[in-house]
Amino acid sequence: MRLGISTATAPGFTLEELSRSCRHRGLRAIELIEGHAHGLTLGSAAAEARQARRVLADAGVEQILFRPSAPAGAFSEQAVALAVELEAAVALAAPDAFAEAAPLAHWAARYAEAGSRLLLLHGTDAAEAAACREAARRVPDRTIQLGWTADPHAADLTAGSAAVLEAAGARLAAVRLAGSGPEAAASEGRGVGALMARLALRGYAGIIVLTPTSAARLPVWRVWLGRSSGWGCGSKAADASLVRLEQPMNPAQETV
Amino acid sequence: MKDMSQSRELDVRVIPPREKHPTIFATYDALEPGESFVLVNDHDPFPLRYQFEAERPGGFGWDYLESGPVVWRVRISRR
Repeated sequence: MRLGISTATAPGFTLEELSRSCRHRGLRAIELIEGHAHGLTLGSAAAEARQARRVLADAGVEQILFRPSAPAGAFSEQAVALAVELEAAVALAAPDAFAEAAPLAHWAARYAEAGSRLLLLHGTDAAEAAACREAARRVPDRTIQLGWTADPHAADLTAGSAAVLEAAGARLAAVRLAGSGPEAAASEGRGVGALMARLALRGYAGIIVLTPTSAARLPVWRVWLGRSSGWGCGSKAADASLVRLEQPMNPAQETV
Repeated sequence: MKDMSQSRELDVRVIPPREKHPTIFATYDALEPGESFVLVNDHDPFPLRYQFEAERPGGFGWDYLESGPVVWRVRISRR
């Protein structure tokens, strides 16, 4: 697994500031949301996108997600071109992807032809994850991957993570985790540890993208992104009752 | 079962502080003998090694793959 951040943690950071933060904290993935201060948009020139890719790569960033400000923007030639130049996957929320008449398969094929891919985001809902997986399965060549927006404050992950992981299967390539980083202590007992253990035991090779729980928390993220040191390991106050893995792990049975 | 020891990573930087060590031990306890995972952390987890020595004596392997200054990666294996 590769740890990264969303620009939702620092909407006002320029690309250089984001790169510096990734380097400081050893982050290897980033979600670029259109409209934030990094400046990349669906209308960005190819050279600008390539330069952004180089800047991020120099900071150690290996994987990029790009989220258009309007979901329909993912279904456009501009998005395909940007994804290619950025070497990024373009992400959109599942309800938005399914709302269109039938363009998902068409655009998945376009991304594949261009050498990129789409990523469908679902929530902590096994049925929604299963619907995404089924949609992805209907498209050849594994060109659609899945991403899970996991907010332990909105839905306790203790009970739900096993079912969502099972439903998403091996196409899961991104977990957008809210309320971690500088907010982690407030997520205690909400299943984050169990989720991470399950991902590790499955051999999950995707990315973990940290997101804030709300705009009110951005000041503490700004501080966190500017530091390279940890915030304490917490070992003195460890509590084993906070982490439960009731269901057995059997990743060998996992299918796409 | 396919061998996934090479790809198993547990990045504890995202885990609430009081859940970190319990999560690491839960992951370790779920391994079969001969399997391993790579622990990723933002500081040297040597206190954890002492805890392993106390609570899982003789049964684990501990190999540093990366030692800072930003990220520490340790392969923890079950014998």
